[in-house]
Amino acid sequence: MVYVNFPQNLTEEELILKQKYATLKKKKKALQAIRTAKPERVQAEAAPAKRPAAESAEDAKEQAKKLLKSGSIKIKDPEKTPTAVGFQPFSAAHAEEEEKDGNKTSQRPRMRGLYDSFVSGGYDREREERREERAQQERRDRDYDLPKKGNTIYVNGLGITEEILRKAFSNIGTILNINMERDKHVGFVSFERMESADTAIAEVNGAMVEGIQLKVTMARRQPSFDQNNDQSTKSWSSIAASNSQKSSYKDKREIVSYDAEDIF
Amino acid sequence: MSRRRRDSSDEEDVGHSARKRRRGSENIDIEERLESLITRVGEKSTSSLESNLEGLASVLEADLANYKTKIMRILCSCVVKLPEKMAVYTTLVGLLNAKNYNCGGEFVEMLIRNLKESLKTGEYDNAKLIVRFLADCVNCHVIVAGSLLSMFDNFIEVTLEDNIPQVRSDWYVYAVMSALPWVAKELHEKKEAEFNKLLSTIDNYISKRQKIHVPALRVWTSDFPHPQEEYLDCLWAQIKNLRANKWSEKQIVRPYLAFDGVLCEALQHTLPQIIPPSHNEETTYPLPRVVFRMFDYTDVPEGPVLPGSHSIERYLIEEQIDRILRTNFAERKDCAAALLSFPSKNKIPLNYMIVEVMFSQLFLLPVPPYLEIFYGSLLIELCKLQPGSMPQVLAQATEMLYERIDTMNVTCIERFSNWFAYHLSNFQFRWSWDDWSTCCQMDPELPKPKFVKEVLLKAMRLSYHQRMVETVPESFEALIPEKPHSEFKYEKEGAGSMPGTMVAHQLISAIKSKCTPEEAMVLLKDLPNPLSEEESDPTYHVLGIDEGDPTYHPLRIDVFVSVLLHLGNKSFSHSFAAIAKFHHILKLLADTEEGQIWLLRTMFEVWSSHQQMMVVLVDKLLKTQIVEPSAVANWLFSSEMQPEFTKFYVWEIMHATIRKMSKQVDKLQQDVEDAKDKLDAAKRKQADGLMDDEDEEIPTDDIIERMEERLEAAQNQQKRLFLIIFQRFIMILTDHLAKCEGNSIDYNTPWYKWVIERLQQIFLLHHELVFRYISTLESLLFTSDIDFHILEIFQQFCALRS
Repeated sequence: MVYVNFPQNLTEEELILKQKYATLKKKKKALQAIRTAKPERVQAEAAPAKRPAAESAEDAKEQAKKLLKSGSIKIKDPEKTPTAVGFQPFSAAHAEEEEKDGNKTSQRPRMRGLYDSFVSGGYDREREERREERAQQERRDRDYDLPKKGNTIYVNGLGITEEILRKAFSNIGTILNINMERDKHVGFVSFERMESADTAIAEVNGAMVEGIQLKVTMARRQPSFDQNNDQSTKSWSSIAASNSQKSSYKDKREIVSYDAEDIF
Repeated sequence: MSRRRRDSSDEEDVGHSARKRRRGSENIDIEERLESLITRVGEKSTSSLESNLEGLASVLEADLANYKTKIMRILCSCVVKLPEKMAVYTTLVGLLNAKNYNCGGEFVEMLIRNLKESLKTGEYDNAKLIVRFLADCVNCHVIVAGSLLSMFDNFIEVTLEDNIPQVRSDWYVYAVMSALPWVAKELHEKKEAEFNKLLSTIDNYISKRQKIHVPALRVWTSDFPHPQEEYLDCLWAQIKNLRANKWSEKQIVRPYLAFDGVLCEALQHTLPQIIPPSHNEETTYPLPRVVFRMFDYTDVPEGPVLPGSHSIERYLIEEQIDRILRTNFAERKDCAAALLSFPSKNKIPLNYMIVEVMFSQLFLLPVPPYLEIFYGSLLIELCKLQPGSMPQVLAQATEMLYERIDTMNVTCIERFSNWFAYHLSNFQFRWSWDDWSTCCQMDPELPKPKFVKEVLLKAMRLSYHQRMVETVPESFEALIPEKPHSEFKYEKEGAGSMPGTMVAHQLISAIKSKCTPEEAMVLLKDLPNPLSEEESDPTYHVLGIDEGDPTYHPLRIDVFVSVLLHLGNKSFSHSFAAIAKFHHILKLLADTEEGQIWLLRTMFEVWSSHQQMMVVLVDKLLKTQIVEPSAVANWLFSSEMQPEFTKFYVWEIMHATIRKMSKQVDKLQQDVEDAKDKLDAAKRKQADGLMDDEDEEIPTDDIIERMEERLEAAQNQQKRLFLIIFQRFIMILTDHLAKCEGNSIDYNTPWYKWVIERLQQIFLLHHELVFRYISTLESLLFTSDIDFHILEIFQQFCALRS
């Protein structure tokens, strides 16, 4: 034998130690599995969202170039553009603030109005464009943390039922599936279209339905789909992803009843 | 050493477990442990495959003294049962051989015995795997390259035999060719001259083969966009490519490379002479195939590139996927999981490859390897596991298949529509129907509208009419199936003037008040037979009724069957109950073939809008022997059924009828054999003086004779059924061809496509049965004086086994 021969009898102690080591190893593996699994998921979700965004950014650039050529937009000092942000103490502070408080991005238009009234001059339009870009970038970055696109929403509300959810959301879009976790007062609603999920969050979050205040957000764990696909396969994807077999389809047939008589 | 054998088998790591011990495991059967160790090597593990193999080899080496035969047997069964891990086992054998030369020799001997046995018993798939394994053994320095080459030479020599079917030489050439990706490099390096000679012999053979059978097996008649190649041609092209690449490929796992140092010192064995068993009439060889291709690299949007159709990687990946399906076909969940954990999944567009292989099997002619529903359910499972990507690939595939449907074989269109309806039913019938709306304006007999219509019909069976209406856009109205309902003419307006109306109504109230069959029969007695009264009525003349007593009573059949089906129209079970209760009357009324055809005709009148009902009713009528298979065939070919002739349900009934017939024959055959066995056993017992009176009933020679008579009658009936079908096909097609020629129009109409390919389908789906009648068919029906277009179909079919 070329191999090192371990003594073949292990002592009690050694045995116990070995067992402990084995369990520890298992736990470590499990932990690793969890750690590696998570970022993968997020990446997978973010990846498809990234592509169209990048495209649109490029598009925007192209458009801007065209506009520049046509002369409808003028950049006053192209040389300064790259450092423009650095020269503006205000904007830097703002950018920082925004980075800290992501929620404000939704209030952007109002902020811009405020800002307009304070600062006047040649640079502000440009600065604002940069800021807009940064904010966009930021928004994009945050997308990595929570799925921002998906067709399933998470609804929380004390005592909610499937009927309540159906009532609350059926006018927003076609519902593919509803999953309930009654004991946690939580439900998951899957829409056929992702836009419906967005609308649902925008419109119903915080609203009272049947005396219950609903908290609506994007469901955390949901598969990502390529959004560029056509309707049919998108819904194939959503249906394939939902665990439930039941469909939200309403059977509109009338009940056929026969006389009980059994002639044969 | 003795302690090692008590190692528990559930350790992940073979190498280390060899030195571990657990209490209480003393009783574990060592043989079982060995089996578990061997079969599980190469599975996912915390340590490297190499160290596991090394560890296992040492364990086995130690056990060889006591368990040699067992170990050898386990290894041999791994060769055929776990071919996906072939390279792992060839390496293991290589390592064992390096440690113990005799053991390597014995293993090779055992494997050769198995190979010879497989060839003799016709287990060609196993034989192929063993040949491949032996080839890989050359790489592991177990077998001398030259001796493998002479085995290959012996195989290729089969091509020189006279008077053998081509399928025989095909298989032997295929067995060699399919092993080449593994061993060609080695042969090229060690025996270049001899190897080149072998290759040129193969090349010669490939170029000379007959390929009459190819048109019968093609999924598409067109070679656009992808050529549909014969399997040997395709594999040969792939191998020529491999040769051009200096015999190097990127797909095969070769764990033995890591052990080169150890292995190259090992002594090799020389294979004994292996001569293929000579041909005899009983052997059936694997049928030839045509390689199905639907994707190329341009269809795969991004990521890894799809290997070209003539790259050996394509073949190797397909083989491996095919293997996974074969191993897991009984468990769709395991199968889906196994497919998606394909070893080199990151290097290939796996989803596309899986979908292509699955459709290639689903569309395989003559018959798919597994149940059609297996492919449907597996695709759903794959969609569930990969909701982000698989549905898209599948939708793309569907779109492509639909686009290419005009040149698709009718049998495949049928399987495609069945699959698609099933798939839709699992996806809430969602589809981008609008993209297909142009088909609504086409001639409804063209493949596209026909396909959509049949999909909706099948989908309706899986749901309901209203749902179909709500599913497709309004523009599809013409293709939406009619709402299934029963027609009862005796209650319609104007029924009063019909001769049977009064009796029909009497019958209804009699049956409703639960009359006996005899009482019902009495009511029917009053009905006059139009055949004897109105000789002049042309409808009855058509059926060829001569003067003298009519052979059946159309009015009685019409009234009784209409009423019965009408009263049972609530459900399948109600209809079945009605048939069961009045079985006797039905049998009396339809005691001749004409009567049976009339009965079927009446059924059609009642249920023509409900295809599924007709399918199950015909099945029931056959099962209860109220109608005979030949009557069903004649009815389907009758002029009344001509408008229905290209609808898929007609052929569903036709094939079900043929299948029912052959089941009946099989059963009678079995009965006769069982009875004979019993009698023989009883005779033997008697001879030994052990006769036991309380024994079960012993059939007498008399009984057996009667059983044989029944079997013979059924066999004749079966033969007659096929003759009727083929004869009617020839009539109907000759008629069409003559008419077209007369009017100088193109014979190749949509109708012609549906019908000629249905003829082909009869040949292919029932090929095993039809082959028995081949000489009768040749001398009676498919004679040289019939139209070439029809004869061609027969010749293509014959070429399948010649």
